[in-house]
Amino acid sequence: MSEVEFAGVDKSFGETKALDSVRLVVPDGSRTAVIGGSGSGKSTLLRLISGFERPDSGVISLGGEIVASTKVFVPAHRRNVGLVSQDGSLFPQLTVAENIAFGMRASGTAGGQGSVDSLLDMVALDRRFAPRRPDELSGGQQQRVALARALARRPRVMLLDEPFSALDTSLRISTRQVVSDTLSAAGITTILVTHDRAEALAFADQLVVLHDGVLVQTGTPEELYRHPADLGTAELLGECVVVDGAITGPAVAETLLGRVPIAAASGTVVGSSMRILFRPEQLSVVATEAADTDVADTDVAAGPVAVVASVEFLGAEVSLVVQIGGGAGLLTVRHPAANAPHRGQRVTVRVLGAGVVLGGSIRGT
Amino acid sequence: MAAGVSLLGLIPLGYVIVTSVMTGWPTFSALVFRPRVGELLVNTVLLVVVTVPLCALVGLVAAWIIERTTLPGRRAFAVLLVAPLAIPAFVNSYGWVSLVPSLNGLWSGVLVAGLSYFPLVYLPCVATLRRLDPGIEEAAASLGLSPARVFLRVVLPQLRLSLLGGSLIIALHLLSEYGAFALIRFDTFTTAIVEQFRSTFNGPAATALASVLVTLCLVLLVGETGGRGRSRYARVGSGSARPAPRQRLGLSRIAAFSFLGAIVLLSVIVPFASVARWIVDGGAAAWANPLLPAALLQTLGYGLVGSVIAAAVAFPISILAVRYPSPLAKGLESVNYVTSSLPGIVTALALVTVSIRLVPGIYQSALVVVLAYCLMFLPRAIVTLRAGLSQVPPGIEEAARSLGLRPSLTFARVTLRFVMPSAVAAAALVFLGVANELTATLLLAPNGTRTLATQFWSNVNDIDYAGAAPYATLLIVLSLPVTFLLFSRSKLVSTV
Repeated sequence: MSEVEFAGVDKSFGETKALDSVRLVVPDGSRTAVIGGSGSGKSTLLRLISGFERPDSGVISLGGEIVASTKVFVPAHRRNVGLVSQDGSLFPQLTVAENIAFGMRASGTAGGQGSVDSLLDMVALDRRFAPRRPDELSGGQQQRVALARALARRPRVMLLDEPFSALDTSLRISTRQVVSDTLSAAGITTILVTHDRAEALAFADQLVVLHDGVLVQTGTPEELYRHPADLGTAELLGECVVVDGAITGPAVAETLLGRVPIAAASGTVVGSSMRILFRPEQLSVVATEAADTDVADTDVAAGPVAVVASVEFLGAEVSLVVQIGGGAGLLTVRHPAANAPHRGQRVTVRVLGAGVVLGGSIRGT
Repeated sequence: MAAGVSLLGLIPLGYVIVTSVMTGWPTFSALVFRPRVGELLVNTVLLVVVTVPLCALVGLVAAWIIERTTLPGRRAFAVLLVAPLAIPAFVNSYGWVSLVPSLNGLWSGVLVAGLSYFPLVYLPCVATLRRLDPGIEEAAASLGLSPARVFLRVVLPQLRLSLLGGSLIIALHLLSEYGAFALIRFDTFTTAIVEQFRSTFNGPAATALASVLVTLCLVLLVGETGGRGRSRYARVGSGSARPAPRQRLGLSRIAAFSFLGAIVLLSVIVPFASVARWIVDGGAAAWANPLLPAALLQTLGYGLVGSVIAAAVAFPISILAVRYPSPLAKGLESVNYVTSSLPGIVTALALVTVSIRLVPGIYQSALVVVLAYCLMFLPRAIVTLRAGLSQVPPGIEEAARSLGLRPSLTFARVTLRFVMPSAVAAAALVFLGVANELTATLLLAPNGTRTLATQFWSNVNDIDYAGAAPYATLLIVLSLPVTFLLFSRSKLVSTV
C-alpha cells in the first residue's frame, strides 16, 4: 500500500514550471529523500503534499484517498500531514510544552503533561525544557521540539523540509540521528527534502532525484549512486571521475585507464565511443617501484603509469591530481594521507570494480 | 546632557504633584470631589472605553483585508487608510460639524475621534502582519487548525503588541485632544481644563483637574505595560522569506470592499469634501487674507526649530539607550515617555506656572513654546532614532575603529551615515506634531503668535468656517508628506 502517490502532477508559478508531470510512489512506512538543487521543485513537492499549494493538473493521494486533483482539494488542516521546516517554525509566544501540545487539541489526541513528556523523551530532549520558550533553545533543540509537535498528532506522513540545514555540522549529524531513529521507531512514512547528498544517502530507503521540476530517477540510494541515470544525478550524489572510452566488448571499454570493465547500459553499442563514470574511491594509485619504470604505459594488469601533478592535503586523505600520458589525461584520485606520494612521483593507477556508461545529456549541478 | 533634558522632562509631572500638595488637602479634595469632575470622568472614561476597542477592531480588520486577501484595489486602500493621519483631529471635527451641525456628545466624539485615530492601530498591524513568518501559520495548519482558528490562536497573539501599543497611543490622544471635542461640545478633562484656564486663569482648579487627568494617563501606561506580558514575540530562527498567502474572498469581497469604502468615505472623503466646500464658499477672498502667509511662516519656523532641537536632543538619549543600556538610561528614557504621554494641556499649564514663578523673563516667549514642543514630541524622535541606531551593524563601527578612526570620527563618518534616514524621519515626525499642535500653543504662545492651527481655531471660534478652510488646507498639505513617510516606513519596521 502506498502512502503518498503523485500521478502526472504539474505545477507552475507564472512562467516557471516548478513540477512537470511528476509520478511518484512513496511506500507505506518508508523513508524517502528528495534531492535536487535549488529551484529543482523539491519544496514545491512537499507543499503540494502538505496542502499549501494546489496542483495545476494530476492527482495526489494520501493512503489511497485523493487529496488534490482538478476536482478535489483537501485543505492542509484536514490532511494530518506532519511538517518540520528548515527553522522549525515554533510558535514564539508559547512554551515548549505548549508548542508540543498545540495540535493535540485540534486533533482530539489525548493531551496532557504525560504525553508531552513522552514526546520529549522520544526526541531525546530533557523534560526540564518543557517550560522554556523557543528562543531559549539551540537550533537543534528547536528542531526536535518541532518534530515532537508534529509527532503529537500521529501524522500519516511526516514531511521534513531541509530540517537540518540551519544546524552546524556536528549538531546536524546528531539531530539527524535522533530524528531518523524517532521516525523509524514510530513507523511513520517520511519524506525528507534536502540538497545535502550525505544526508539523503544516509537517511533514505528510497531516493528521488529532481531536476528543473522533472523527476529524473528513483531507487535505493545505492542503486542511484552506482547507476545514476545521467551525469547530473551522478554529480548530485558524489564526486565523479569521467573518462572517454571506446566500447570494445559487451562489458569492456578501452580508456586512458586501460581496458576497464563496464556495466553497460542498454543501448550501448559495441564500437561506439561513450563517457564512462568512476567514483574517486574506485581509483587508487600505487607508487611505482624503480624496477617497474620500464613497464608499458597501459598494462591492463597493473594499470597505467602516471605522474602526480599536485597533492592537496585534506586531513585523513589527500586529493591527488595525476597525469596520464602526454598531458591530456588529468584524473583526481583520493589516497590515504599516511603514505601519500609526493608531487612529481610516478605512480600506477588501479581501477576497482566497473565503470558506468553514461547515457543522457550533459548537465551540471 | 541627557540627564538635563530628562530633568526638564520632569517639570510637568513634578508641577502637578507639587501644586497639588501645596494647594492643601481640603481645597484640593473640594476641587476634585465635586459633581462636575465626576461628569468629566464619566465622559472621558466612556470615550476611551468605547473608542479604543472600536478603533482596534477597525484597524485590525482593515489591516487583515489589506495584507491577507486578494481584494481588488487593496493598494489604493492601503494608502487611503493612512490618509486620516494627515488630517488633524480638530480639522476632521470641523469637517463633520459643518456637514452635520447638530453633532454633539459622546457618540459624536466617538465617531470623530475614531475616524481620526484608527490608523494608529491599522499601521502597526499591517507592519506586523507583513513580517509574520508564514511558516508558523503553515505549521499550525499542518497541526489541524482551520484558517479561522489559525488566525485566532497564532496570528492574533502575535499581533497583540501592535494592538496594545496602537490602542495606548489612541487612548492618550483621546485624553489630550482639545479642539476636536470642543467643536462638538463634548466635555472631557482636557476641554474643561482649557476652558477653566482661559476663563478664570484659576490655577488650583485647573491643576486639580489636571491631576485627575494625569492619574488617568498613568493608569493607561501601567495597564499597557502589564498587558504586554512577558511572552516574547520575536521570530525564532530565520523564518521563511515567502510572503504569506492571501485569502481569496468569494462573495464576502463585496462586504470587505464596502467596509473599507465606508471607512475611507467617513474618515477621508467627508473632511476633504467639507474643506473643499468651504474653500469654494470662501472664494479667492479667503486666500487673500494677509494673516495666512504669516501663519504659514510661523508654523514652518516653529516646526523646523522644534524638530531640529528635538532630533538633536534625541541623539544622546538614543545612543545611551542603544549602546550603553543601564538602569539610568532606561530611567531617562521612561521619564520622557511619561512626559509625552501627558496631555499637552498639562505640559502647558506646568510651563506657564514654572516660568511665571521661577524665570519670569521667559514667560510668553517663543523659548517656552519650543520647550513645550520638545517635551511633548521628544519620544517620537527617540523611538525613531533608536530603531535606526540599533540597526547599525556594530561590526562596521568596530571596523572603522580598527582602521584608526577615533570614536568621535567613527560616529561622524560611519554611524551618522547609517542613522541619517532615521534622524530625518524623527525630525519629520516632530514637525508633524508641532504643525498640528493647538492646545499648548494657545496657552503658551506670546501675544501675536499666529500658527496655522491657532488661526484655524480662532476662525472656527468666530464661526468663520470659510475663513478657516485655507488654514485647514495648509495643515493637511504640510502633513501629507510626513504621513506618506510614516506609511512607507511602516513597510520596513513597525514604527508606532
